Amino acid sequence: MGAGKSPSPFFEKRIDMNKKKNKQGLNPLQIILVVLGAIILLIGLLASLNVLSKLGFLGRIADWLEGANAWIRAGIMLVGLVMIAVVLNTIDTKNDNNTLNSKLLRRPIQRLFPAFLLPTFAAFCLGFLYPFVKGLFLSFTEFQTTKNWTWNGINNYLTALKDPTFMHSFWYTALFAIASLVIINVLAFAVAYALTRGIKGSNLFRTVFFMPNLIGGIVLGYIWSMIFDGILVHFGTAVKLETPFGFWGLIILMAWQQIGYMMIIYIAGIQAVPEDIIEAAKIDGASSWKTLWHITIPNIMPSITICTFLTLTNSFKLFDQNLALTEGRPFVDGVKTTEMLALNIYSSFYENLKSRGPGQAKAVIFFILVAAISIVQLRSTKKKEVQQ
Amino acid sequence: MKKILAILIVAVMVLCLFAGCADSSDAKGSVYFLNFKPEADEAWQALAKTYTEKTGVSVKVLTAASGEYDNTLTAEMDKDAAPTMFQVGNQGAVTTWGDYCYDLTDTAFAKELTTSDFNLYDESGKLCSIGYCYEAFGIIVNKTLLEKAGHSLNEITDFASLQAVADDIHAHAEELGFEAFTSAGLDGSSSWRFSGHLANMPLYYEFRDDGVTEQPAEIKGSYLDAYKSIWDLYITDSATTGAALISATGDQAEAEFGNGEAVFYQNGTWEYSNLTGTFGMNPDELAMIPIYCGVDGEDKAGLCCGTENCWAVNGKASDEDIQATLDFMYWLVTSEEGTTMMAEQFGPCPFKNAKTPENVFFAQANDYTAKGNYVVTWAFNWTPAVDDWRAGVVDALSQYSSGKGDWSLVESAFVDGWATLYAQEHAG
Repeated sequence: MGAGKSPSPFFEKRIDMNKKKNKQGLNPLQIILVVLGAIILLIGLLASLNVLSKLGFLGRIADWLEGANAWIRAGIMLVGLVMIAVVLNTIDTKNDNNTLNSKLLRRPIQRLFPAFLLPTFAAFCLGFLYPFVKGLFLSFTEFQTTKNWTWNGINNYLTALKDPTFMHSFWYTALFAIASLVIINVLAFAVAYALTRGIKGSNLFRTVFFMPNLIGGIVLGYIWSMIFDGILVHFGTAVKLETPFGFWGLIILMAWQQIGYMMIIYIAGIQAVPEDIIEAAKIDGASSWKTLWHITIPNIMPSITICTFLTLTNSFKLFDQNLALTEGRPFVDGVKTTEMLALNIYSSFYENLKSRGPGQAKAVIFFILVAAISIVQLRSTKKKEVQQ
Repeated sequence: MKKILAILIVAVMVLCLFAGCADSSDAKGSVYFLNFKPEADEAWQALAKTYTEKTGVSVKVLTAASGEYDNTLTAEMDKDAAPTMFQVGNQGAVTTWGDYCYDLTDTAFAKELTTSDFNLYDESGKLCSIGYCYEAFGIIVNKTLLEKAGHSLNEITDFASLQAVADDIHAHAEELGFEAFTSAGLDGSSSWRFSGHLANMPLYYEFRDDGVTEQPAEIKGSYLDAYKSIWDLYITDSATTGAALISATGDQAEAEFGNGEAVFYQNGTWEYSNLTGTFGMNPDELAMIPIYCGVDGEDKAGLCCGTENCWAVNGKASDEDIQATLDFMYWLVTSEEGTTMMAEQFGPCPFKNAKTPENVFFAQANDYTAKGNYVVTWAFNWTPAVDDWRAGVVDALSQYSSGKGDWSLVESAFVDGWATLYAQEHAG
């Protein structure tokens, strides 16, 4: 076939059919379903937040909905979401000749997607989306139990930012995050490097180093506090008595727990460095230190990205171990000196009636903070990743 | 085809909603009690079963873990099936949960009371909760060991004599084979004895002097010297001193006393069943004396009697549930099974049909009152933000006891802590 020869009638027919499928508009039924789905979702959400009856629409239906079993409201929200999802899925996408868009594969996917997606999606909504949205809403209110709230605007945020204990725990957590980031990653990388040199028993060592990660946070905190106190009592002190002890105790604890986990990731990264580059370096006469610094590390940048992300977020979110090891003690001038952000949010929630709203506001600020730091960190290390 | 399928899926989901609609509560109402005392859980479950068999009303009893009552109550109250009967034991709890309390004045249950001393009211005079038992605490003494050390109970009439006897025992601890005081542990399981019960002494005397009759916004700490004297005694004349106190637990102290390793153990009447049961101590060798701390006229002191155990009914529950709960409570204090269980588990109860408990300590409390000694009431029930205040006091005591700080830390945690927490609670 040369250029310029007109396509056969058979091809012409196919192109026409493709042209028809290229239309991306929604037909009226789909529009109705989407709008209806959105309204149902909104009604369910507002009812769960106990806002519906306060808005004045729907009168008695709103009251009944808010007083009814929680499963009913959850079901309504899920119905709304599913309606929207169904419509989104039945929009005809551009046929770009991708095999996945062929009728043979597309039809079964469209028919069966609920069976596969729904359980996980429902769990995601129940466990994350709904509490998140509700928490966000409640941070603008004053409440004792989540059902009885009164609107408070941004006062909660102002109170939270003015709270000296919040500021203290923020700086303390930041310091802890930086220290643990450096210590955990350097040590984990060193151990990973050592265990990829082909020493006898490497597998056994890897297992042993990983095992501390399997122990839960609270248990770890209590056991380490017993260990620390057992040693410190001979010096007439205890881990709950001096702030530096609390700080370094937590670092030791986190390092002990997390090094194994990060080591696994680093081992995978080191093993993925192409053999030929290392051989080429050896032939060129590079020392093992130069190989490590200029070849291995740039090539494992993805692992470094992940590990720094995980260590950073773990340190900021640390709660169990903080509670079990020090409970924030010692108290100096009414400030809990070893209290980290998560523990601060928890204690301020249960402090008294007035503090639940500000506690919720602190939680939202906390989320924004961790998200911002993670995004910044991910972007900056992703830029350094080397193409292999 | 797609459209039919989509509509079908939606229809199935909507139908599932109506399955959840089935109302399972019957017209009789049901009772849901959130229990405060873990040690009484078994007895409550058995009693709930008996009641359900007798009347057909379902009774659910859930017990919160030790120290977690407020957290658990907050979480449970948020649910659709919130507790209908719960504990509102001190003024702080009335401030927090007062809005949820049903007014118990003139209910059949309230009419069974013999005294209103243990009731809690809110600012408007609403009867929020009713004390269903009263307890006493003091210093439990092992009379046998005391006599072995060459002293007798009659010698101890005030702080000076207590100190003399304790110092003497402590000096001869090696020969005698036992110490004066059990460990004054500051671990969470034991610290409430000192940040709560022991702290009651300075609070009671200050409130008595100043004629305080409701929760004060500030305290002066006038009797903190007395608090220091008795605390110093606890941490000097004992086998556990210094930084080791921070990790010493409540079980440890109890075992030290139960195994005959110490003569004095500060705790309350609720220890009776453990000491005579688990540790097999002879009731005849047990006695309880008041906590003397060096205040004038304390030779006329009696034991510290009061309670933190008060029942409240959830006013926001449905009417049938409220009535079912009130009926259940009435049955508890008038029926055979109810009164027996309450006497066994809780000791003396201020109701007309209450049974007399066997607890030796209560007999002593009554003796003191009969002799004309004054009862030291539970002034610490007025503490604002109880958990936070106590945490501050415990931290200060830890620093003082291990030599890291001085007594001014404790004074500050006591006095300034009270003022700050009161202000926060009542702000806005």
